[in-house]
Amino acid sequence: MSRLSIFSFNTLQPWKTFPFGLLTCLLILIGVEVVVARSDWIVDRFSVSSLGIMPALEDEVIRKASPEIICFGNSRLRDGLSPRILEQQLGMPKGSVLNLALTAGKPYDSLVMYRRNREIFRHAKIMIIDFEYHYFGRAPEFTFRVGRHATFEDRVRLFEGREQLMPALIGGIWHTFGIRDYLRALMMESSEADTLVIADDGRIVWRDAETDEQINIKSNIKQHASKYETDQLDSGHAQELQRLIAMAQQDGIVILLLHVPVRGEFARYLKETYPKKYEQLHRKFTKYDFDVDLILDPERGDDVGILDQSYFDYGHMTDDGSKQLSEWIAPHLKRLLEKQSEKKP
Amino acid sequence: MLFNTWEFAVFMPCVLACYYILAPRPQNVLLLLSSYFFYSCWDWRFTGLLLLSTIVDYTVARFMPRASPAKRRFLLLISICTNLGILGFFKYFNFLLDSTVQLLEQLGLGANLFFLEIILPVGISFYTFQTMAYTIDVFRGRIEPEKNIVVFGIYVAYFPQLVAGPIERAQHLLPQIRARRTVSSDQIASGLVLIVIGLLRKVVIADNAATYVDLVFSDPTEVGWQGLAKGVLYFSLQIYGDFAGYSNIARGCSRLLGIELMQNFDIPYFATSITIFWRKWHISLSSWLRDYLYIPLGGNRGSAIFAYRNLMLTMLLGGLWHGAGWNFIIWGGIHGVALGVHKWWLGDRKPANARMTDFRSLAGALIGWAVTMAVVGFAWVFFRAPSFSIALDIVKRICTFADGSLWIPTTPLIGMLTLLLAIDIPQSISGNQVVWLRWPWYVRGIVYALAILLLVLWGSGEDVPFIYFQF
Repeated sequence: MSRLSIFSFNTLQPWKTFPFGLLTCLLILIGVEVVVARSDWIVDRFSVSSLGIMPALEDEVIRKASPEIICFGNSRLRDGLSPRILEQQLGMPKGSVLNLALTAGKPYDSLVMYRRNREIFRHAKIMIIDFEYHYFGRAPEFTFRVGRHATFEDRVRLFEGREQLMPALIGGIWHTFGIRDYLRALMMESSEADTLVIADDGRIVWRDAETDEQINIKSNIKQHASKYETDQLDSGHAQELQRLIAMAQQDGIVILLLHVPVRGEFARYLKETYPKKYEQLHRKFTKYDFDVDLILDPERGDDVGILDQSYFDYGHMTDDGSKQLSEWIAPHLKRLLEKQSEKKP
Repeated sequence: MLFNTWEFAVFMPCVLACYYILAPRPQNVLLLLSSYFFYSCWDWRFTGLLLLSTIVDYTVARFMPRASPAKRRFLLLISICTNLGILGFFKYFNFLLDSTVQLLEQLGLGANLFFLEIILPVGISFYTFQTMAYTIDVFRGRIEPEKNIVVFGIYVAYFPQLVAGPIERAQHLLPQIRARRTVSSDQIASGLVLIVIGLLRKVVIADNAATYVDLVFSDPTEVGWQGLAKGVLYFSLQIYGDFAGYSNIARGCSRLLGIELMQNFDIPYFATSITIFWRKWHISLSSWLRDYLYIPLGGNRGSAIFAYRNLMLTMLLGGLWHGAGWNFIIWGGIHGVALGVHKWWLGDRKPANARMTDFRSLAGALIGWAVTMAVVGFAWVFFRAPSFSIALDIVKRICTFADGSLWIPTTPLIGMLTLLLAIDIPQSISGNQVVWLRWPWYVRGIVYALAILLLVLWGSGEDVPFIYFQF
């Protein structure tokens, strides 16, 4: 019996029944891929979105500056360090300090941002990288930014041996699939375009005063503390952080790891409620022994004179809190700059 | 391994690639091995049960034709006892024990009986019913026993329909497994369309509806009457999307292998009476219950009271088939009562026309449809609620317009209903499940692209198991 005898060649006559329907379908899918998923117009249109913020920052801030100090991190560092105050304290011209911390930013996002703008960043002297203890308790997630920016190698590295590997790899080839959550969110929530706003003190304006007023501190603390309970210890983010550090050090940049201090009330609640996990995460962090020039790890705001009133919630600072933290960190930066001036004048 | 997972997306093309290049005999060996592999991906230990069921029924059936009537009955008893024994132990043992304890406690006789940690083997109700049907048919002389154990093994364990049906009949499936199969381009096209429709039903409708269903049924006291009513509607969509979706994917995959499975759903939510609903909902189970339970019990023969009793018994056992719990029995009971009332209302009249509607006017059909859906929806509350008391509480809260703090959105419900109608209306009008293939190429192209984009953008993104796997 011949092989492929299973096919009935009486009906399987491709030359007679050319699949025009399938071809049309394919053309539509390619159209969506090119016009929506792979082009920047939709991302640019929503520049304050999780995905749009990165290219918006590149256009509006990074390409217009020649930074000496760059800050990467998440929303707590975004709100916590004021570039203008740091420039004043360090006697630098405007635009020398860039705060590029992103909402829900993870070490991988910082790595991508550094990689994309390395030509500009390689001239910087100091890089401040925010670290959070719960980074070390979480595996990298398949976020919008991973879906959009991750290379094939990144995808394998981030998700090897995990369930997300297959969607991540397919998403790398077929971007419509890779950023599906983002496209859905855009369709559901955003009908009007928005623009990036930078405050006078150089921080990204993200917070909404109306929402901030409604925050119930007790439940906010409880909700964020619960991450210490649910997160499993994982080294994924630490590895990305190591990569970023190595890349910056190759460019002769001094690294400062900064744990943006949390609200005193939050730190006390964590220690009481999840003492074991809290200790574990601290230990996990020290175990990595990051080869950096300085680690600043003020646990609580009140350790550095930032009182609970200078926080919106469990760990995001008000203008006042940001001013105090910037002033507190400035002398440390001064020392690092002095050390660096010999190597990178 | 679920149909809606990446594992299956790799498994199925691998099986097809090997299947298409093999000659008929090795094809069957491949089908059997891949079916056992498919099942063992869930829990390899229970492949033993599958094997036991296969060997017992194969052997019993082989001895039947030459045996005396008494021996034949004995052989049938062995088959039924084995299959029902497996089913009874794994599915109903703890339920029976729990019910006994409760009964003894009500009688004032406290009892401490032991309970076992029993894992329910996936699809057990489906394959035991399928093999029992085979032995009964051989016993009745309707079919010849299968000589080839590989062919029979596939009949029991055929992976596209192993874990959630359709419950195939030997007359339909065995000849196809025995024969040399061909796959035409039409079969490939319609198989793929069925898979896409099934995935739309499962991933876009059922899995998204599950989010709201879980929210409503986990703590109904937090939800107001409107939210609860929406929760029932969400569940109606979820269970239909889930089960009909599974059946579509199963038929589609099987068609790619050149084997036709029976249609399990025929647009049931368009039914204008409860009797018609049961001709369109889980057709393979309802026809099984009719042929192997209702008719042997006496069916419509004898007095009206006996017919009603038979109907009720069939539906109660049908409910129990779904799960070991009183809520499933009550669900069956509600349908039994509704079918009885409809039978009484219908009297000697037959359905008005070939399209199975009891009504000659549109208004009548609409009223019939509304009443049917109300009964079906009411029964779903008992089917889904974690316990009988919670089900009663939900019904009470809806009837008394109770308030609640948890808000259940309407927009996703409208979206899901729109998609459901967009799939079902063309199928209903044409009477063809793959009507898409009849449309002009440019319409087909747009529909395929829309379906794929819907799956990508609105698929739940999680591997939610099919509801009927637990049965």
